[in-house]
Amino acid sequence: MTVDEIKELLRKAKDDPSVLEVETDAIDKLLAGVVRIEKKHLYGMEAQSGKKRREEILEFLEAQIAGGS
Amino acid sequence: MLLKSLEIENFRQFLGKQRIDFATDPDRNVTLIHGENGTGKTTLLNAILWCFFDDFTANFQRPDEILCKGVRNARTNDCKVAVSFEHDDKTYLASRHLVPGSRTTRFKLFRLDRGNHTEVPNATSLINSILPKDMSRYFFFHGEGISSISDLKGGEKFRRAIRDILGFTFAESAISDLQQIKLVYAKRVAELLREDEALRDTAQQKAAAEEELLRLRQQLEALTSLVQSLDEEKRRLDDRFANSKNADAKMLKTEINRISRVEDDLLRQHREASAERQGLVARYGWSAFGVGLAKLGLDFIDEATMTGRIPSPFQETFVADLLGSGQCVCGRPLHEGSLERARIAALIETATTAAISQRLMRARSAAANIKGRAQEFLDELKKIESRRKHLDDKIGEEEIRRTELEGRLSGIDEAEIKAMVEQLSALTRRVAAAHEERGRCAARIDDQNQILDRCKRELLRGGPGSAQANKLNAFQAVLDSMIKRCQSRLEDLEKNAKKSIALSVNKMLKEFSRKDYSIRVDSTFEFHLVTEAGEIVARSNGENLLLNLSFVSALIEMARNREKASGEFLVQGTVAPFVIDAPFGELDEQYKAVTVEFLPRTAKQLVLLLSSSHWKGTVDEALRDRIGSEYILVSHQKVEQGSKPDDKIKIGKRMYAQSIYGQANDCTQIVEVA
Repeated sequence: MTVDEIKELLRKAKDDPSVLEVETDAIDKLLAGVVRIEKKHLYGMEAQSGKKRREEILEFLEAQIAGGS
Repeated sequence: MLLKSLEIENFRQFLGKQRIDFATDPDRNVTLIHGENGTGKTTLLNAILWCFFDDFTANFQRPDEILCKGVRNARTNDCKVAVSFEHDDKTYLASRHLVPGSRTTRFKLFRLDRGNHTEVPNATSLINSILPKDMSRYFFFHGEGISSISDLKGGEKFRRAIRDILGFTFAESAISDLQQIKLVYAKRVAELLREDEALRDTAQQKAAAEEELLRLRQQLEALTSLVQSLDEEKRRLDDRFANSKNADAKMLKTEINRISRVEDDLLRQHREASAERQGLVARYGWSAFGVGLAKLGLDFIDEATMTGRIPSPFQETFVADLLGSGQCVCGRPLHEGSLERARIAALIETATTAAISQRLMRARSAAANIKGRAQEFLDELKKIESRRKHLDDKIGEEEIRRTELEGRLSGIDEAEIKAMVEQLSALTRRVAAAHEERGRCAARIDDQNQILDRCKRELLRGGPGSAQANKLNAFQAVLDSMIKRCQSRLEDLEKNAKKSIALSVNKMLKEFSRKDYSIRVDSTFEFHLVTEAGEIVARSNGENLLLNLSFVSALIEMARNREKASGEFLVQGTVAPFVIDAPFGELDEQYKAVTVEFLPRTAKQLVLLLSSSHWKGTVDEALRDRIGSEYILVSHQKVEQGSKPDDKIKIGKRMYAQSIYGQANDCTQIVEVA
């Protein structure tokens, strides 16, 4: 971005802060979902195997992609 | 997280139940624990780690034997560590105990509120959300291991440290899981396409390539870990040489290590020069090949211009004017149909136009440019070659010198030294073999990636296939995009963090280093100490230690800055105490003073475990006003004192015994300094 573009963005943000929000596309949203599952398994339930974790991720992805397609 | 107290019971040399209350006052935030070698400084550090994470530092010997020997024959053999701490204005008590007669442990976490203890469910989850295990090694730090972080070959450790502090754990695990899931899908596609002759083989090859890639990536990770652990072993062996009683061996090894560092630096410069040469050839090498042709062309143009052959001496506009005026320059009329007019009109075919003149000028200019570029290329190439030759000579000289010293070291006639030399030789061979294997693995990964790309293209070209197979392929494509996006985000975050940490460390160096050096982190995450002119300097052990302490402080600062991050993609940062065992190793008095100056500023709470040789003088003077809590680890010994000297330490105006003889058990007692 040029300096003028940054200034213009900040000027717009004064009236509407939502312009500063980063657009997340579908891939980012899927990633966020997968990371949430990772967090749940890696921190909370060491007794769970990697296999169960991947099964849960697969279920989530299939539901999201089938739902969105 | 703010540590409040540690209760340790029958853990290693700590017999019975003993306690430390940590300094929590922001102005006097240092807890100082004095302990000579073997009294339990490293044990205390590991007690905290074990309590929170059931984990130990790399240098903790025999981690399976944590029950205090003194209780083995007693009726009670409870082995327990409890740590109370504050977080987010709440007080917690974490407690881990060893299940009697086994190696398993039980972990519990309680919230303390007005005298009530409420057990917290998902205790491990909460502890990791307060202080992630991967980050803990940078907060609970054994200083003797600190030299490994920014070693010349330690780029991977630095990179790992950044990834841990940024909280890459979930994202990295996500990438690995998505790759495994991709493999499952690739196999399903191959199954579905079994009936389709045209695509069956390609689908099977793709599935096989995916599987092989996964296996190779795991192998590459394992080899990288192996190289790191072998480097670690070499470093420990170096320490043994450094602490050897044989002065010759010590001196020779120190010099060999110094020369090795110089060699590594020269090799790095050689690689950079080779890369520069490659870049130069890629950009301008064509000009060298074109220069012959360009000269021919230029000579032809110049000669032909001189002799009037090109461009034609007659401009198109001049001929057109003659025909239009109906009169030649000699005055003769140019009537329609006359021979004269026909001859003049024929000149149009070979007359020079503006376009031809321009093209000629451009051709001339391009030819001259090629000649010029070729000369520049050759001059630059000559300089690089000269530099490479100089580096080759220097590398050769250093190698000769090092080989000579290694020969002298092997020649020392002492059993222990001979054994260490043999061990070092074996380790060096193993490291070289591991590096080679890693290189081969990386090359095989490239090959498999090429096969995979080819198969993907063929499957796409191959037509619709079955509808189900197409759906599965589309799903794999989504997984691919997710993996690439994740990897790309992590790379960007890592790059930015690298810059940010380098800035922090440079700020500290500017303030504290006696020389005008700064650090530069290259693309492989290796640290270099450079002069103002950008030349890399070999670091002394003291400079190394100062640099590494600065680096760890910068990591802690980064974790603190990320405390309020969303935690959606990366693990949130944290504010945690800095507990450091033996941080001053090889620092001279001035560097000790500056380290002691910046360490308490690094973290909200600082716990230092020091021997008297590291603490006396400079450190004590610099720290005294910041100490909020102070303890001594007193060694109890069964043997009688006999002729052993009194082992005492003077703190303030009081003398404290550091060893007490003729006791019932060999153990350590924690004594509070009044």
